[in-house]
Amino acid sequence: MSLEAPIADRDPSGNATIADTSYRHYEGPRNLHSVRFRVVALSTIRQNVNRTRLGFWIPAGFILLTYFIFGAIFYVTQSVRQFGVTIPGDTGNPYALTLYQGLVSIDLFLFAAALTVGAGSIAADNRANALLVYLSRPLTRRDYLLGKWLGIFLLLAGLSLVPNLVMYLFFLTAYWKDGFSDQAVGMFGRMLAASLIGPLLHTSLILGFSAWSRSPRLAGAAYAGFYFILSLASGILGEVLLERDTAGRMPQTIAIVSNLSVSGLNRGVAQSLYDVTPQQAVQNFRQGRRRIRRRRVIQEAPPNMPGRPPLAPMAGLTLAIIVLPVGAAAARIRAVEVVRG
Amino acid sequence: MSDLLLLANALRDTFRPRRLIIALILLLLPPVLAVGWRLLSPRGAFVPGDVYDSLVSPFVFSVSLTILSVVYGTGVVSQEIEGKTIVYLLTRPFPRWRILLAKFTAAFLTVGTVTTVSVLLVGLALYEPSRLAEAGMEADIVALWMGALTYGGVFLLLGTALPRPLTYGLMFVFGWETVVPKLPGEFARVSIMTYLKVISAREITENPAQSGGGNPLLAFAQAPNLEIPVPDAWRILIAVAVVTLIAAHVLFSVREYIPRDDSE
Amino acid sequence: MIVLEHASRWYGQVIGLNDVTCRIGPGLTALLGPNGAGKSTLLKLITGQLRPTTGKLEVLNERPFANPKVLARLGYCPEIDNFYEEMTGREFVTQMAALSGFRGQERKTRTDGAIERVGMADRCDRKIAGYSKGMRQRIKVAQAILHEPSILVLDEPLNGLDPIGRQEITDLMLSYAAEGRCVLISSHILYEVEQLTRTILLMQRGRLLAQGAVSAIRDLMDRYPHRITIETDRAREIATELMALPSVLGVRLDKHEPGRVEVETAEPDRFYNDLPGIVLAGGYTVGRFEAPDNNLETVMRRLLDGKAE
Repeated sequence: MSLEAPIADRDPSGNATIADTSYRHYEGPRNLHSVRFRVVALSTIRQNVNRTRLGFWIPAGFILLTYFIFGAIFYVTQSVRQFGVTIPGDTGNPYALTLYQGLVSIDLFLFAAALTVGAGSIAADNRANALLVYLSRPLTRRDYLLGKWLGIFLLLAGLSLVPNLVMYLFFLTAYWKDGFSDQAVGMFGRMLAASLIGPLLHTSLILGFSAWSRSPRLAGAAYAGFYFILSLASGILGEVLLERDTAGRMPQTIAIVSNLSVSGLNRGVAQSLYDVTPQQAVQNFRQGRRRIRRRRVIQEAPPNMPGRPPLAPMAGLTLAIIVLPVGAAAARIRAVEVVRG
Repeated sequence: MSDLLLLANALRDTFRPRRLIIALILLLLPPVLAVGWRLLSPRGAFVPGDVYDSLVSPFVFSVSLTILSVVYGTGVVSQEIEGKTIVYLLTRPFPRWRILLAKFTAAFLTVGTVTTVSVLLVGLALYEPSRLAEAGMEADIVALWMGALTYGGVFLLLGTALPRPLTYGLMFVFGWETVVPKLPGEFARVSIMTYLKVISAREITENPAQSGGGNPLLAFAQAPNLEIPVPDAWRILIAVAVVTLIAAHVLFSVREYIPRDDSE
Repeated sequence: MIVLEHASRWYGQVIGLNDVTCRIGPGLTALLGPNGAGKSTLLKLITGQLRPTTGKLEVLNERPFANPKVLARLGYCPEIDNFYEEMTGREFVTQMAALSGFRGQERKTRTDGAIERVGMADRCDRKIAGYSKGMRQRIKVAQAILHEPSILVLDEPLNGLDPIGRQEITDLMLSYAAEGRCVLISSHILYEVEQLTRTILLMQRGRLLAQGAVSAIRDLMDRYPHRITIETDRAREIATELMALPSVLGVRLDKHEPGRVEVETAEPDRFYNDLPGIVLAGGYTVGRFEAPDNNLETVMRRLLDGKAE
């Protein structure tokens, strides 16, 4: 343990300045610098995992219910297939398809859980000026941010990973001899990766919004607006481009644009990981129709939907969406409250 | 006069820059998309009515109206609790229900105005001024105001009754209101959006599987085949609005509100 | 003016207030107690934010919860440091005046008067977000007094105030009390409370330990004799004479301070009557005379310690 102020903290005469920061390098009986963020992470987790946090447990319940439904559907359809019955629209790898469908279906619940655990994570500290207390400890901004991020991520990852694991285990035990044994190893890796995309995205984004707000409520509202507006806008833009591209020259661009949202990125990357297409995933048994009503003229458009987006740009965008909000949050975190006017 | 001052302060609070950002984005995005759609559409393929319908229903009704109603409706009470300023309101010799009414009125006016302006701008972006009447915006605007009142009442009640109403409100709007109208049978009757679309003469039922991959859970949904008379839709919307508003005001008058550190 | 009869308040399984019976009348009363004693709960009950779970609570002969008639005559300065930060001080007090039912010119007059009275006239047009703690405290007091309430409830009113501010607010509270209004303050700053009032309500763990004048409470505490310290030129001689008094339980001389005598007595009034005669007859020179036990801190500490046992 060094009790002397570092050279950078000395005035020209060599005397220690008032702000002796040597304690930050203290490596005595207390926790190592490298694991201080764990304290913040554990605190975040403890705060949110208690019985009264219905905003976390209700989405958790719905996530489990969703996977149960897809598991039941899989069981029924698989049983029907075993009798040699052909199900219309039944294409692709049923295991991958089911895992993908489950993953995509729970994004809204993950979003709700992210709102609950993440909206106030930094905003509440901003409001209470708690950062003054945090950062006056031997805790750096990096520790604080990493701890907050990790706490939220672990919670959301748990919500996503656990039902996926259960589904995987269901396939492993019940369908080992029905073709799952050949793909079990690869599927595990893909399942692991795919189930973490949503939590990564939601964690980084909600943390970014929370860091820039002093009100958990407004942070949550801003993230909700961002989530739904982007989802809708990307869908509409995709439709516009689809209409325009009569020659079919920009399928990849259209696919990317249609998935330029939080749920879209999750979807797009998962499609590549599981090797499914949107058409397979939806298993639309009827001809798609879009009726534009109101003027009492019904036009029927042929079924048309964007294809699977390419992995590289989607992965790049996903990474950017994960990293940029964290950077924005880091820029915002400071101990001193600046008051204007 | 005190009510008016309270209303004026509540409106001014609504229009503070940070709070206005979400509303501005929701107001401007549909017209911006409308302009983009118009510019990007192939010549001869641009039908203003189709684009108007494609923007107003899924965006203005299903996103702008609902998100704004959730944020402002639940915020009437929860913002005061979160900010711990509710103590100033509750220790004044002013009937609680009048405080709530003034603040709710500000929220209602804000939501109604933002969505109305958004629809008007979409119309102006798509139609020549001389053909604006073709858009049939009047019914939409009336429906939006009714929606602001009905949703506002529901979320006001949520805000007075529950500790973290924003999350529950968003789940209601993007879970219940999205899924229920698409369930088979008569489930659509328990959705507020169904009745709003009836009074705006809006029957669009997009195939849920077609929007950029869609939600597979809804792949088995079918477009409901309900016939709801317009007068019935009005009655139900008014009834829901009246009941929820009265319940919210009664609850606010009798409930204890203590600021919480972990409020939303 | 404020009456509690066997009032209790539960928060789930936790007791906030436990069977409290007391009456608080005109004048200045201090509400004291350690953290978690139930002071805030009591103040919230009185100001109509909470209802008692059991028992009776009346303010001005009415139940205060959401009661405009009571709240019109009650002013509350909360401990919280939260405001509508984007408002100026004047706008905030004006809004409170509006919520108190004042209109037009009267609202303006009362707003200006309250702001002037708390010494914020030159700073009230700045946003509250830029106020110091003391300025925020003054604005809080302003909104509590603008409607000239009969009952003024202040939770930690001197928090964050500079010495001048403390004096101003103290003078304000004393003037209110002198006018026959009921002023109830909750504070941790004992020496300041002592200067304000000798009437206290002492709470611990939700219970009312003591109510009344500090001296009267002190007199009732038989277990702890009064200690009185005298500094004199002939300590041993005066000690001998004092030992002869029936009211004196014990006398102690300090070997480090030869001129100092410490007397213990269970009848301080009788002792004070006898002491001057002894001093005059013996020609003693008394340099200093202290009764350290007759202060609020000692009373509080001994009551709380006694209760903890």
